[in-house]
Amino acid sequence: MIQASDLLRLVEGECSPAEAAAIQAWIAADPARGELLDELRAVWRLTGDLTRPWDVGAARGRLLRARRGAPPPGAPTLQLHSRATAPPRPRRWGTATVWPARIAAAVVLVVAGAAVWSHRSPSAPRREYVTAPGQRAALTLPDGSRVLLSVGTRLLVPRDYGVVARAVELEGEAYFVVRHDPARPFLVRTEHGTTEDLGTEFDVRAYREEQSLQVVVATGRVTLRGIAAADSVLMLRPRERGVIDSSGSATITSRVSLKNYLAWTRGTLRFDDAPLSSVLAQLERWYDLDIQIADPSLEQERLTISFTTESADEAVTALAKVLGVRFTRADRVVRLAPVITVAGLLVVAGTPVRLYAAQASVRPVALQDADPLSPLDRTVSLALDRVPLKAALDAVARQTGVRIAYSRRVVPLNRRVSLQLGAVSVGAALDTLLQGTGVAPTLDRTGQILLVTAPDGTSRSARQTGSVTGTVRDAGSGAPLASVTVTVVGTRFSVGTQADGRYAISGVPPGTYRLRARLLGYAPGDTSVVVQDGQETVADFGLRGSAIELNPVVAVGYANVRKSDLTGAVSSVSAEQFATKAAPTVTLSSGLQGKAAGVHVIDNSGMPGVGARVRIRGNGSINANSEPLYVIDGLPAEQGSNSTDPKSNPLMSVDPSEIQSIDVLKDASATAIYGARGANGVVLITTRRGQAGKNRVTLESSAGTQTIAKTIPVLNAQQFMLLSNDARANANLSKLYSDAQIAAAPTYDYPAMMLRSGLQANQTISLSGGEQRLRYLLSGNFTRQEGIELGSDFNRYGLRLNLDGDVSTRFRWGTSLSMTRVARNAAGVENAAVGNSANGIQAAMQFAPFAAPRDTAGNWIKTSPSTEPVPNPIARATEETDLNTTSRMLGSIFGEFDITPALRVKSTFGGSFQFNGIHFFAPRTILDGGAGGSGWIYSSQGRVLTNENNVSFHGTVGPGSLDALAGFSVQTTDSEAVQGNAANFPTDVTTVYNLGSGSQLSPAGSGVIDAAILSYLGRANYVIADKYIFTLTGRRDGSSVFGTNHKWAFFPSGAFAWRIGNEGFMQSQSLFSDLKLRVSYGKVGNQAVNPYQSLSRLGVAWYSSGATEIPALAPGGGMPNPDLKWEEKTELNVGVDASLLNNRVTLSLDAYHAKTTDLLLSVPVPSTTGFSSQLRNIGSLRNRGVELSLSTVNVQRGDLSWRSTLNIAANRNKVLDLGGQTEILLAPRTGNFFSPAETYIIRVGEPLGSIYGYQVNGLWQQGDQCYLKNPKDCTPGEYKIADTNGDSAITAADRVILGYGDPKFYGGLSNTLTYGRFSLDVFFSFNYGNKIINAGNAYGGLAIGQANERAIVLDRWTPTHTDTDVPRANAARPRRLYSPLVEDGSYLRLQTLTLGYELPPRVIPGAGTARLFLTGQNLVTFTDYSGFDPDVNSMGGDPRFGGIDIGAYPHSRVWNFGVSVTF
Amino acid sequence: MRRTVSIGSSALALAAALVVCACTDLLTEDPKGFTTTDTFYKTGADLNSATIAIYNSLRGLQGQAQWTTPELASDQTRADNREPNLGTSGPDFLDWDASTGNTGGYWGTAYAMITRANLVLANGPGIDAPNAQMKAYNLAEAKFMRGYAYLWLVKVYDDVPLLLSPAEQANPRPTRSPVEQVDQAIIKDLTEAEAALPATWPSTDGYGDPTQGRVTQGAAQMALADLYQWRSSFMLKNEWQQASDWADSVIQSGVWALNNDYLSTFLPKNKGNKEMILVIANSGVTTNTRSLFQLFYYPRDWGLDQGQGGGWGLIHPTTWFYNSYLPGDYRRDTGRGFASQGAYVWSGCSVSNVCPATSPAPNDTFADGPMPYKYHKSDNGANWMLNDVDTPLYRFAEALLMYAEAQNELGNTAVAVPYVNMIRARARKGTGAESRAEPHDYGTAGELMDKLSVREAIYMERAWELAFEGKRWFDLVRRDSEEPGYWANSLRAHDPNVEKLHALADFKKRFPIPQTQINANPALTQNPGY
Repeated sequence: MIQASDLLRLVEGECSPAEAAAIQAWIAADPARGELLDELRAVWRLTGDLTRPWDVGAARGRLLRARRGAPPPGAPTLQLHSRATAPPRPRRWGTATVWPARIAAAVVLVVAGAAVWSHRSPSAPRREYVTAPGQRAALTLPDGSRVLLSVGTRLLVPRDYGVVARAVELEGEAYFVVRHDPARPFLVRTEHGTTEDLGTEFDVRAYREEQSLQVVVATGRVTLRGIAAADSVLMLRPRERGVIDSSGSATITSRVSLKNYLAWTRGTLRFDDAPLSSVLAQLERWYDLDIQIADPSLEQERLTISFTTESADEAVTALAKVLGVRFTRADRVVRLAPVITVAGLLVVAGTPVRLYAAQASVRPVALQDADPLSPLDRTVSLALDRVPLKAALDAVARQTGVRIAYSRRVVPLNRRVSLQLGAVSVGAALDTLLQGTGVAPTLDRTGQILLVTAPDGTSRSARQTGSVTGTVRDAGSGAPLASVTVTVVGTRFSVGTQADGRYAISGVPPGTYRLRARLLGYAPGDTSVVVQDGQETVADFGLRGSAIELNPVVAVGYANVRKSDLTGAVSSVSAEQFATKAAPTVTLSSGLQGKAAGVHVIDNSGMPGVGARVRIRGNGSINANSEPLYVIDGLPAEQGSNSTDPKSNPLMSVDPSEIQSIDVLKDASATAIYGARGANGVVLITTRRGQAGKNRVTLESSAGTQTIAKTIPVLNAQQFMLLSNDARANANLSKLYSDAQIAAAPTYDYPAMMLRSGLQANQTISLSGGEQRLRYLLSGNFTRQEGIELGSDFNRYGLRLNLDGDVSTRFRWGTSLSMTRVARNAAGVENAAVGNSANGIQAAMQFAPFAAPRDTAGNWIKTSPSTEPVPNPIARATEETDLNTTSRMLGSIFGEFDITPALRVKSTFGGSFQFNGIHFFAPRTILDGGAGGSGWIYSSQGRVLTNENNVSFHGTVGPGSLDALAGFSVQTTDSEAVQGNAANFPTDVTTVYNLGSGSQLSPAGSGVIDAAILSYLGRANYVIADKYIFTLTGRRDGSSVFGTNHKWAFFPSGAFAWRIGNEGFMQSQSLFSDLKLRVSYGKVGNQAVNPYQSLSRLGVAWYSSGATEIPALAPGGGMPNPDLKWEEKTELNVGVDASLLNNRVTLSLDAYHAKTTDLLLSVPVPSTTGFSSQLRNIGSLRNRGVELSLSTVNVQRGDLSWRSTLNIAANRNKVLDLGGQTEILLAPRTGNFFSPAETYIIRVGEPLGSIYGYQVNGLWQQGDQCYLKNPKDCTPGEYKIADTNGDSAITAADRVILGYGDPKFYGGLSNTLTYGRFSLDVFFSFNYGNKIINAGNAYGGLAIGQANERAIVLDRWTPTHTDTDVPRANAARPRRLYSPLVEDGSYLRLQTLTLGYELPPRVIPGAGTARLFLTGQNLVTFTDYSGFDPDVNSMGGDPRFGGIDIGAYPHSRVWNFGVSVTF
Repeated sequence: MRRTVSIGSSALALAAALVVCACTDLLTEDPKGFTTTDTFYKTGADLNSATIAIYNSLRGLQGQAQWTTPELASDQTRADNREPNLGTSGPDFLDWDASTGNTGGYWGTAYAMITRANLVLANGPGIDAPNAQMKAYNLAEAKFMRGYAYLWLVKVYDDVPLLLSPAEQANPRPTRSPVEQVDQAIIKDLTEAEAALPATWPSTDGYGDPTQGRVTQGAAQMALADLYQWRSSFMLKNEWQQASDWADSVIQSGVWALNNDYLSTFLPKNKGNKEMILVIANSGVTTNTRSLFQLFYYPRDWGLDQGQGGGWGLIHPTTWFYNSYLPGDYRRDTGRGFASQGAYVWSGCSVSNVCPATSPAPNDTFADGPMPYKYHKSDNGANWMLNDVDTPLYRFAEALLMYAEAQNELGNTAVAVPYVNMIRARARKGTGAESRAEPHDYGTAGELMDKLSVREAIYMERAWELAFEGKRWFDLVRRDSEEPGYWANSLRAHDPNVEKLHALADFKKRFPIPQTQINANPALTQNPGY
């Protein structure tokens, strides 16, 4: 049987297709049923919000037809009562089928009214329509206008209605839908005025007791006129509300909420900040009650509430709750009486409003009551700045469609709140808004949220109790969340979760509660629980992380702390910022570039798998390794200074997609926990782990191509030959090429031959899941990158298995295991040198362009037939093998036991096993191969074993809470290596695999290194009142590498942070949402010393007798130094963390001053001592700097969000002391080619990386005054070199500092735009103010002509072309470091651009999430640098050298397309 | 729950146990890959090993700075005009200063030898070596090496710190001792060595090592003759008699003689021949005992290093010198290709068949002139890394010429000339049995027999005979004392390159004390002019 409710559902579009079909069939059986449906639609139109066109006339016609027929079967029968015919009868609405009954009533009323009407027509008598309290009715007037009468309303329709005018009289409230007829105005007369309109929809409310007339216009226009002639005439437009009070004065309110005013038409009463009296009057009418107030203080009360319930009891209960009063009822009489308010409960506490972060995507909120979510679970996003609480509540209601009831009495509505919430639940939003008010939201049966005085937990303490337990997890990953605060809302019950996410609250009195879980960095979770006597109720939470993590958990070494509790300087980079979500990054270090303030990353070159120089807060050392300490899942993995070598770069073995987070410890307080290894900063890398729950499979795959980002034109054959001839002529040398040779010479484009477009592909698959007792993550990855230069590629594949298990609630264990193989082939392309050692692109740019790479017989030309015999780069890249491989197995296992809830002991055993190989083979066909090929093979294996044991305490001590850690660790390192090489093999076929077949064997070599570190470490973090945080850290390290007199070192640090934002006086301002000051001071070390350096070593000294080689022993290496010890860095750090403008802006600003003393310097000692140098702890340098990181939410509106993150840092380095020396001159690898070879200087008072050479002030021109003794030195067209020492000669003493390798500032800017399913990441990195030695130009831009040069030399000086910076051709020009070779390295680069698209659900069957992305890397670089790329550093990690480009492998531009799917 | 506790307790206990057993022994370094001085200088074998280590330091003399600097700086040789690096070709232009490093090599090499010699001389006497003879030889070798090192130092720098024990060497601020004081120490070391060293060595040294190439009495006598010759000419001390006596003692020893074939003297297959009194031994077996010095003489046109054979092509004879030979002089024979047996090579292919005329330019001929080829490796240059040519320091021929010079300076011109003619006669005989007209005996073509003329003849004979053996520069320097202006005039007249950078200044006769050493030890003074 089809019910009216079914029809209603059909009208409302809520039927299933099957249901709709059934209804249509039912309607088809009887036309009257169709009429009924139409009327239902009409009423829906009348009372609902839809804007469906409604043809009144047609509907009426159908109604008339329906009247002649039988009433629709199944229609409820309800009579319309009028006072004229029968006394009104109080009517209770049913409670079971509220809506259907209501609608059915309305329908029948209309039908019945129409029937009555038709009997009287055409001379219809005056009719009076009256609704009783609690009853509504709809009727249609003869002209087709419709009226919906509210409760307790009387409408008089005169007999002559419609003849001349259409005038009705109203007492009470009615909604009019007027049929347009300009000839006959429609008038509604009420006690206080008349409303006239010309075809519109409006509501007139004129209850007698309200002593006023209120008109609200839905569409069209009306005029409103008071009773008195003098009264003004108001013109009301849609969404305007006009009120004429008893005095006749009128007011208009614009943009009112129609929904509120018309709610009664849908059976709902809505009051918005209405006087209690008005609320009560309406309630009395609706429920036919007599409500009496026994509390005079209530008389002035105003409240916001709505009633949709049909139970008077429930309505009154809700009212009483919201008012915070009790009530009694006896039949119609209700009395409201005050309760005794517990002092303080309603006092607004001084605690700040807690702020929770926004979710990136906001689901559009459907404004339907049919929303299946509980009102408290609906999603809301708010951005409020110091608005009254009432406005905030209204915003919640408006946005979500939930109804919130409150009174001034209970809720401090004027209290100002500021907050930023994104896509959190209404419950959570309300909790946040109401925090500290003693008010709690409760849900009534109708789905209205009542804000009531929170129940007092203590009052029920005498009762029986139950308990609540459960687990809190990350909703995304399923990972258990520790330290989550779980609170029984409105009670004092509150507890934190353990590491496994579990919590237990016992002693809870029976009842229904809301339970809330909160963790900083996550949106709070709410659920309701029913606690019963003696029972355990389980309530689990899944918390959703927030995109702007205002307060994430940060790893600090051996523990995690909330960012709010940090006292040191720590930068965090989340996985999203460097993993495939942003751009496929082959090596981790490159992906860190520009991502964290104060972390300066310079790629060594653009070669596949190349490393980068990573500096945290500048160079802290001169000779020692200045790379940070990497700690991967708790295991220290030191990186050697040669980051390009896979052997010494542990990061090369880490697939970025495996990483969960990276935390960079920067200041002494943060790094002191790593003691003698902390001075260069510490990078903590945490890999992903499995979460209990559903098994998840994630696939990520991307592929793309790389092409060179920039090309540099070189001379063609003719141009080169002319240059050579010119250069030799100017040097008084004979020309090498005849005109005929020049004319006939073909050009071979070597750079183009050297380059290609390379493939890049990344594949990752991970499986994770498990149950609580055993969680797993298993992932595999494969990366292949072909270089853009021939002969270079990089491959990595690896496997990871991370397990976590709970043996019991107190004992947990876990393992991390990864196995990776990295293979990098760089045959003859690794950036190394210029001149006749050049290779790769640099050699290609130097190679004589007139020579074919192969001779006519097809054999390679081995060297360039130019004066500078450059090896053939094409031949080398094609024929050579230069394969570096590293296989690493990194594993650890830990066990963790809670001795007491406050005391935990943890022990970790870890091992890193590493196997390295180098295969180099050059066949006989190329230069390196020589007569019979040459090959060498190198193999080494290393082992690092670590054991860490620590005890941690977490608890309350004195006025605050203490987190303390004490531990002991031991780490041993062993490695051994063996190598062999040979040449002149009988065949090239066996390459390096049969060295014994070579007729020329070189001695094999082997070596071994053992080292050990023993450490005691401790840290205490003490937090008082969430405002004052103290941290003390210390580590005592004993290291085998130190000299015998200094085996042990102690590194203490202290820090203090003041969370000013939590101070009471900060609550009255709204600029800062949070504010924290930090200061730290401490001492850390750089272990610096290589093993055995302190010893008096004997080395092998060979001599021969005839063909016998005799090894002898002699002191070798440096002078022994038993005092050798760590370098020591003392650092002061001051920082501010702040959130502003409701967390739309968060920033961290740090300033530091670090002095490194006891610098290890290899001090030259007089050769007369028998040694050339001694390594001593002597010298000091300083780094000072500031760092700023800034995150802003620029736009957060609906589906659109735009966020930016900027980090910028400036560091100033200064050498303070070189142990008595004033300067040290240094030659980089260009040594053989620059004359003098030294191009860098370390000078006291100057920074490291000072470039040292000859200042050139243009070119000598004809007629210039020569200031040099030798007039030849002033030849026009030659460089005009500054004679800085005034001796009238250009000598090595004229060199000056030409610039600095360190930038003035650097950083990164990332912008993330999301719109619906699309996301766009735009990431820029920049560097400003650094200088680069463009050593490639020493062979490409000096017009010497001994090898091919770059096209810039076409602009060289000639007697007829003097306006240029390029000197004349001159084969005899010394290859000095002239200042034109030192270029500005500033750049701004569009580093990555990623466009992502989140596929809609179910596009890929079974997929949870799926994402497509297109990534471009290195797209645009703005720079004045003339080399390939200013992001270059051919000297790798060596801190003594700044940026220098020694023919570096160029960077590529990469486009990648990929997909990431989770099942 | 009980079980959990026990597991947890076990973990705790284990951790505690580890803390206890984590021995601080771990912090004591045990370098398995090498030894330290703490465990050395205990046995005779140690002493012998420490002595051989001095020879290893001697190898430094054939380093680029030490070898090519005086070679190029002299008027006998010039750098290849195509040499791109001024740092390499600079000495040809006398382009050096205290910082360039070209002239500083001797300092490090000599003090390394002195250091190792002092260790032997300090530790040796206390070692109870069963083989007393070897112990005595070792001590004498050390004395020779120390004296020889100081000899180089005074010939190059004049005053140098005289440090005769490890204790004295520990002084970080030694000053330069007067050259006379150093010379006397050299004389003492060399004469004591001369007395204790064997005239010839037994075939092994008693510790299993062959002895060919170990220093002998003859080497000490040569060094003494060298010193007195230097003192007499450069320092005008007129100790020619001592020079004559020591040279004569070599000539009279019967141990040493001239080979018939001049060029065979240098061939690796003739290592240890009776003419080679002191050499730096290069086995050429592995890179452990090889040198690169001959690469400077091998033609670059044969391809550049790195396995292709050939050389770095740096050093050419100056035109004056190449033309100065008397017609027919075997020592100027010029051959073609890698198989040439001549003293010079002028054209042809290398062993890896890199030939002329394969490319339009510039190496289609030996455009830059002939290359010296007397240091002829066994593999003809197939492998650039390995060199088995011994580097000659003292040859019997030089003993003859030293004796002749001393006698001439002592006024006994007639005694002197026959010794010059012994050298000329060999050159005339070519490979040994040839009968060439030239070079004719001095005096047979009307040459003047006055002292100055004979001096000139002896100097020229030294230039031809000892060409590219690093002697000519010192000859120019010392003769400049006798004939002021001789040094500069010869350079200017014979090697126009010296004028290229306008660096020809008198003070350059003496090398600068390396700036790095002055930086490290401010107590050192610099030589005048630098």
